[in-house]
Amino acid sequence: MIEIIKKLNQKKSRKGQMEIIGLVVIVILITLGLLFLTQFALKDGSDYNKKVFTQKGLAKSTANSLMKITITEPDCLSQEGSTVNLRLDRDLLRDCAMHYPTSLDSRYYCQQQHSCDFLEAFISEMLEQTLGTWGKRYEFTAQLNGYGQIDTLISINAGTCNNREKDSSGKIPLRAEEIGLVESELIICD
Amino acid sequence: MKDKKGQIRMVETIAVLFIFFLLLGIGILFYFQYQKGQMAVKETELLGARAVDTTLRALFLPELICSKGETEPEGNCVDLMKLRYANGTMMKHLNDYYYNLFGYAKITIIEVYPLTKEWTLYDKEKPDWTAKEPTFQMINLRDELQGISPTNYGYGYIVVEVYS
Repeated sequence: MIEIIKKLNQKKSRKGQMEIIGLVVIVILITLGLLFLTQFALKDGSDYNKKVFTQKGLAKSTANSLMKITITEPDCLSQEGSTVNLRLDRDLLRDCAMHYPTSLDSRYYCQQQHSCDFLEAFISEMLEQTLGTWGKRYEFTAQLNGYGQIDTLISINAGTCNNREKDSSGKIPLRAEEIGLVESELIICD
Repeated sequence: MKDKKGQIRMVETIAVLFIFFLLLGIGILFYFQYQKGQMAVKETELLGARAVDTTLRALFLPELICSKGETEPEGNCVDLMKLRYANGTMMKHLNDYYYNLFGYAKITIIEVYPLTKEWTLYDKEKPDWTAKEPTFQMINLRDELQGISPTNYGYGYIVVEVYS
């Protein structure tokens, strides 16, 4: 009688062990599934490196190329009335900083406009023909950092970049004699 | 009685095995779907990397870059004097030289200011391409032939499209 009870107990404990093993297998499978799921959910699938190169590189190359442009408008005149070819940063932007606000006479006039007004229209057109056609939003600013005073010389906004991932060209400095430093910056976002 | 018990156990075992394989099947299916997604992401990443690589090669191509004698060449600048002739040379040696540099790609330079002009420097389209990745970079176009002082720098951009 005792032997029969012992055998029954052994059978029961074996069955219990089997059930526990089955439970463990199911738990392992569910854990593996969850692990995959979290890995899948957390991994950023975007081509980050390319985005950094294109967007950041684009902001930098655009701002630097803009600054280097030679303005060859036939109606760009100096105060003396002669036609001149001007570099955007060294000539026009510096002139704009030195003769700000626009109520003052500037040294150079292009399309009968003060250098600041002409620059704003020109840069805006150049950006619109490139970044604008690619559907990018951008902000361009040129500020005169004088002695204790900051003046915004040029401000162009094509859509705002608030609450968006943005890339900046960094501030491009230009020294304007005795007046201070002109800092230009281009911010691009999608 | 014993037969019935055995039958019940067999059905029980079959049910357990069925559930086990069902779970395993769902796991495998999920894993394959995940791998498929990952492959597509990897493919996009590789195409992006190739686009960056090709753009850099095009930007620093000695046949195009602005140079000043022995000094360092100017970055993001294309010499128009070189460009006018590089156009023909690159198309002529497309298969025997430039294909090894750029692979399946299209390189175009567009002048925005002072003139509006376009040069297709290299064009090798993949016969059965499924995706195209364009990269834009702004450049200056230096024109020494204008003979004006300061050196004339125009404004434009380079478009590099790679195929996969």
